[in-house]
Amino acid sequence: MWDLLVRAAPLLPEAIAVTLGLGIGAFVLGSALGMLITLARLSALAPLRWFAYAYVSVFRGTPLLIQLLLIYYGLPRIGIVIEPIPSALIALTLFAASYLSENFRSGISAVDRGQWEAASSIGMTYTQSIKRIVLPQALRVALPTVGSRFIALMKDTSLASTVTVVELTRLAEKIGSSTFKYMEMFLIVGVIYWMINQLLTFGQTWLERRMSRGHR
Amino acid sequence: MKTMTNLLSLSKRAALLATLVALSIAPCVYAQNESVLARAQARGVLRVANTQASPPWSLLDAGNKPAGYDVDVANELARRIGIAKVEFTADTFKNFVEALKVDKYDIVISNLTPTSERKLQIDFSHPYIAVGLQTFVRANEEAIKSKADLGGKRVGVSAGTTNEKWVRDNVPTAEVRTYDNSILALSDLAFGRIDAAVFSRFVGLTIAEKNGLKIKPAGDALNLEFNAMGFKKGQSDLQSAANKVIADMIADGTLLKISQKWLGGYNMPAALANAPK
Repeated sequence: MWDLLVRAAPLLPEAIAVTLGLGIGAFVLGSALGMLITLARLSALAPLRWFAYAYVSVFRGTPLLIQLLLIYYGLPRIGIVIEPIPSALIALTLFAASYLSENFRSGISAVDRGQWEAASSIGMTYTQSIKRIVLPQALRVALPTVGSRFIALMKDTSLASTVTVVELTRLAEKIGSSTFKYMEMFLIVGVIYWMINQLLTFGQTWLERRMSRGHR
Repeated sequence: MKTMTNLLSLSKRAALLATLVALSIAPCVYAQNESVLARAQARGVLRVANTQASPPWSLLDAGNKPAGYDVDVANELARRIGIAKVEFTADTFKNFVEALKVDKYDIVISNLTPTSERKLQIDFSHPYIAVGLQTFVRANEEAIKSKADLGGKRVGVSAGTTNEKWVRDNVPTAEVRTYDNSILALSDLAFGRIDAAVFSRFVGLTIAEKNGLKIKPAGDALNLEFNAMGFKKGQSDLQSAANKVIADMIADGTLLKISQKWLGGYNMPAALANAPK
């Protein structure tokens, strides 16, 4: 096990960086896109609501692996050729946005109707009420599910290995196949994934505690 | 008469006891080294693994049944060692060795190369395939003609295969991109995300033709590679049975017939004559 770790060590930083980059990048971009989808879903305009509904239905209702393979191998058939890492980032972002938008929506629905009414009664516009009154409360409610989604996303980055991206899982296969010590390599990267996600969990706990300070 | 029945029941009891003992030690035998050949013959089923995605060696035919050179060889092997049924499992090169070690299937017949690393883990038959690796490029590519031209280029291979190893060993400056199978790698070559791909000549030609990919072989064959059937270590009966079947199929023209059917008239027995003894 130790000699395997020594062999993998020079390659690990880059693989970890790719895994983290994909996971964090998709979470940030997916949150932004997911918020737009949520606002569209709650919009007064019917076509926007339909679009948001269809988006979530498609991207949450199909496997991420299939979405990734279609983006990487399917799009070139209509002339769109995207490099491996951007392909993986796009797929993870689109997928994450569908789940996160639902998390945000449930958070917003949890905010009491009276909060909206109170906001507009003191003359706030829709944008102001959303930004200053509703979202801060909604995010606090949505935080646990959003945190879980972040962790799930971090693990989903392993699928990028299927489109030639050398991230942690692909690195394990690469070293595993040249040494035939697959199980040991999978154990090593399994522990690394776990450590990354444990850090995320600590961060989430800290945030939850901080955001609920005013509510105790 | 009475003594007869007593004797019979006694022998029945003895048989029952023997069966029980045999059953109770069966797991130990399994854990040690049960004969894979004997087990397959007892079950009447030979469990064969191939990729089913490496035409012309193994692929799925129009009726979604496994077909190809390796499938014909597997069926012929089973027939000649007296096993009625062949059960094919689709797997990938990176899994073959581990899966054999834990008895997921009995034998791998899937254009597998007996590398020194693999030989540490599993045993092999004598070669039944001899074929060269070939560089493939896009149809309009003129700059890549030889091994030296691959340096610094993006080169596609199948993960965990000897073509991956060949490129890493022989063109260390190449940027190696690994795929789950040859169809994905060669499609990506046609799409332009890689500059070249290194595959067995027939795999590349067949896939290019079947998928209408605008790619072509570049330069001469890079080497001559031999492929063999792989199985768990310590299976000398299976090994000698497989070797005998391969020798018989070369001698009686069966292997020539199979290679002419799948490999565009290629004479496999003649190529195999170059195999190291």
